[in-house]
Amino acid sequence: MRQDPTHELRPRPSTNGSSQNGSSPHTNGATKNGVAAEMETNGYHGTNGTMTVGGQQNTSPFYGHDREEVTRILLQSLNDLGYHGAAKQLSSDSGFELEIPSVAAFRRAVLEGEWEEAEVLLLGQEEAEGGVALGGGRAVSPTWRKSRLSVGSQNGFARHGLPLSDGADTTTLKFLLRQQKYLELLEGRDLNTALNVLRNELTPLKRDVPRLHALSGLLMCQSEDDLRSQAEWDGSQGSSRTHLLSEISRSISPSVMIPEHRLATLLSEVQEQEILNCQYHNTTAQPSLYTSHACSADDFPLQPLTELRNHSDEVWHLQFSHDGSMLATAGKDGLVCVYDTARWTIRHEFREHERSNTPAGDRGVVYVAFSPDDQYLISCSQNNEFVVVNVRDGRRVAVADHFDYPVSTAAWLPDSQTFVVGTQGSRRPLGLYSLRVSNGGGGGGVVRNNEIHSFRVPPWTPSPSRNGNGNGNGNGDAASTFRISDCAVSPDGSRLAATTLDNNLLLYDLRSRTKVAEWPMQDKLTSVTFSADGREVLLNMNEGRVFLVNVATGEVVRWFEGVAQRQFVVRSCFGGAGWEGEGGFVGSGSEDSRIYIWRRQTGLQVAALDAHASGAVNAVAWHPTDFSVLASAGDDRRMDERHTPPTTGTSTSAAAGGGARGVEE
Amino acid sequence: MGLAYNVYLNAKKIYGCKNCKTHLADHDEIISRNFRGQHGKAYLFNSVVNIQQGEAGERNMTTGRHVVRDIACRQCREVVGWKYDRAYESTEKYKEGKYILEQELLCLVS
Repeated sequence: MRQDPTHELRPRPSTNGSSQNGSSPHTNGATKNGVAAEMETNGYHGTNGTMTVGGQQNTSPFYGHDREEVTRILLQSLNDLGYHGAAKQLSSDSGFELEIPSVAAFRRAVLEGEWEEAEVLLLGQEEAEGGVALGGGRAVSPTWRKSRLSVGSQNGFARHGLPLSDGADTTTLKFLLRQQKYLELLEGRDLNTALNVLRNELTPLKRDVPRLHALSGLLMCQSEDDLRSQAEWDGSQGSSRTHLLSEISRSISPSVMIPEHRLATLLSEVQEQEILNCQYHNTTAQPSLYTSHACSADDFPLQPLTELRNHSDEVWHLQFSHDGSMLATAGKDGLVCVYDTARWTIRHEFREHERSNTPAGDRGVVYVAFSPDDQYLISCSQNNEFVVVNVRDGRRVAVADHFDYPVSTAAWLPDSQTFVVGTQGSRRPLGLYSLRVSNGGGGGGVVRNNEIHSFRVPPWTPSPSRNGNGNGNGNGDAASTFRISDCAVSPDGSRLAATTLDNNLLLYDLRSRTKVAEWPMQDKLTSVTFSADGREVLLNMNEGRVFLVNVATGEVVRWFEGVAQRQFVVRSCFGGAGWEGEGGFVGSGSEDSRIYIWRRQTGLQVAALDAHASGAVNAVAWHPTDFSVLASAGDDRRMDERHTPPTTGTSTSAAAGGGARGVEE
Repeated sequence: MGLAYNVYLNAKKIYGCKNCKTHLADHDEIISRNFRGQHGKAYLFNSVVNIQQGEAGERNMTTGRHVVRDIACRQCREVVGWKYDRAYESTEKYKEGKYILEQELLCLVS
């Protein structure tokens, strides 16, 4: 709202002006047609023409828009920008006023704390209706009458109040005004009057009883600061009056009192629409207002940048570190590679899973995840174990092999010390593990099997006796279907989402460690990822469906079409630039060797890149800070990076049959 | 090609691959126990999971001519039995589309 004190002087000249003209146009208007509606639709432009200086008013449309609306919005914008002189000049040139005097009077009344006058101006008199008597207590009636007189002489709206927008609730408005009055009286330590207001004005409204109780509790406050903090109220000197004005102005008909910053709102809407429609919008920079906005494909990762060919077998998963400096990949050969993303050189090769004595075919690493501080990397493998290594020095930090089924997924909590692990076994399907050992022992050693909580329903009892379960549909069965295919933790660490092998999506609250919701899905689920705000999850489902689900309601928000997925695990991710860290794009692998990218807000398919020569693209990952880089992992043993096409300079590419492609500078 | 999770069965008694414990069949799906394979006793199952099928070939078995194909565990690639594609004699028609798993190559997975 306009805090500029000089502005408050501005409406006064207009009100004085109208009364100076003798026959004030308003009363004429009121008596002439007596219908407030006509005044309302016409806004106010001095039906007598007394306000214009020098001649006729121009009413021709402005490029298809109502001249009056445009001029008044311009007036408001000029005032918002601080150019009051220009605004005055514009209003005198055009003959349009930003606000009719009653609105200006109302604004002034609220900002100065003249509540009775404000209420009368807003809602008109109500003696005939027998409703709540304005001003309530006897103590305030003289001022009320006085203000009524002064108001009445200025404009004819005293009888009807300001025109309100549809659906405005007069009781709520009264409540708001009276509440502010009450709080200010309390602040001024005028407890008796305040009590009067509470009893005679607020309570009869029969509105929001809990709030009334809270307000009456405020009487006990010892000091003003106490009052302010308890009521979460800014004080009469603060911005609370302007907030109140904004609040109430939302209920006043918009043609009488233009919503705040209307021009800015309109411009933002247009920009948002353009951004939504922009196919390759991959920046956070605000588009210029001068032209329509459309991003070119230059900022978008479409061209291959480099191939990484370190794996000897299919690459199943890959992930960037949270700061974007490293890329970890994992594959069927049991090897975990960590690359440096600046030069795409190998930093580490972890062959942790080869230490255990399982046959070579069984050692595939299915999942890798960086801890949020990028210090640790967990790798989950098919030989029923997971290993946590420290990325800086390559040491093994923790291991757990007490599983009897493959470990399928893991997710870190924000503290980088605890993580959730999901497996395909029925005994330990979903467990919470910690790198810290509770008894404090073993400072430098490897933490082993340190499960601190198991999300199992019902709890597993070690005794394997199932004979007493009648027809076998007892506890054993309920647990055996609870095998986890993927899990994800929301970025704030409060929620855990997990998908099971029998097509359910489970949601847990991590603080209380209880199950919050369980939604059955139609087909096999292979991947779940949280969005940055933790309110939506991205799911990959069999038969080629990728969709967003709202975490609070379990409803599908948006579908993304095009992926082929029938038998394998295909993963997707969020990515790209966007407001508040929310990626603007969704990318997914697919069994037809392509990477698919969609616009997240609209579901529009942006690209279908032929990424790999053959086989499925198992996973994609978007670089978290450099939005023009996208990496994919495929069955042809390659990790592909994609970049923007070169804008300047030469492009050198050494294309050799079947060999690695060169880096495009 | 690609990563695919194994299918897990939900039953009281599950037979799995002796090598890698992958779930193969449900005990309740047994149709007959009266079979013999290369390694001894074998069972005829209605349905099995997690197997890869081989090439079909005509074979002369003790009960007559059949078209069969070998089946192997998906994970460790060990042959665990065979599947009947076609039976030429009318009395053997009931075997068509069913699977044989040899007891010697199975283990019980609780």
